[in-house]
Amino acid sequence: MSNPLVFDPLAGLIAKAGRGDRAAAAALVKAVSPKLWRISWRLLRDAAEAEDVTQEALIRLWKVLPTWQTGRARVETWLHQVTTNLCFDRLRKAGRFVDEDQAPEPLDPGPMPDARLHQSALRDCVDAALASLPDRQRAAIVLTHYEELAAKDVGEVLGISVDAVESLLARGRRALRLALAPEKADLLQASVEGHAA
Amino acid sequence: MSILDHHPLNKALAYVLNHASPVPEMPSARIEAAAMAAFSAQTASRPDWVKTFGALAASLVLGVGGFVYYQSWQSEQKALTADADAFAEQLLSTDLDSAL
Repeated sequence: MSNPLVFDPLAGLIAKAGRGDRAAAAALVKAVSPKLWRISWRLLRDAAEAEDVTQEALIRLWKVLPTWQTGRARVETWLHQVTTNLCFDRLRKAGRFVDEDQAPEPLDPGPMPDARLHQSALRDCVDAALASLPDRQRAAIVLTHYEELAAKDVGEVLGISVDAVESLLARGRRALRLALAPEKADLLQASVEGHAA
Repeated sequence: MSILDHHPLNKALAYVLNHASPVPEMPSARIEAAAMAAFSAQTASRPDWVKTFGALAASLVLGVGGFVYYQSWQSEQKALTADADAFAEQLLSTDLDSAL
């Protein structure tokens, strides 16, 4: 069964860059690289590695440009998939990849002192909570909540169904809620201050 | 589209997490420079490859052609020399003086 044509807002730039247009290639890099950087940084938590992955994803884009078929897929979705897979590969090579079935059940950390956490401590808590998630759950959370991709696109990136994405998200959110329960008040306060600023 | 995509709680969760733990600034200059260098290398590589292959093919054709031509010229020269030798032998073996 053939897929319906997919509208890609970057199709014009892709076509021009495919013909060797440097200006179009530079515009493509500017358009897509910030999101690739954010995804890879959130998944790897390492600036140097995130930079490598972002560059590698762009190099792979140049390689497929001459044969890219407009209308078959959105180039951004393809790039997110490449970036996520490159991050997973690096995590696997470093022995840092955690599958869902290997992850321990999240535990309720219990009540904390009612002292307000310093901003950096709060950041550490959020980082630790995200880092503790199995990698595919973290990827689903990052792509959905940070990058605001639709569940269908997240499914394409991770190579799973929408139902499986929702399952990953539900488990990821539950683990985050438990891990961040003691910091709930500080997080909400930080959110209110952020909105007010 | 999933009902989860635009749930207000999800937006709030994203805002809270992002506010508490922002992503560091992207090293744009380095990433863009590396990407454009790779793009230039990719677009330049094909003409270079074509030029190199073209030069190799031309050298091969000229070399083989020259060798074949030289071989045929050499055998032709040998044949001519043999003919001339045979003619000279024939002249020498004939008693021309007495005939004249």
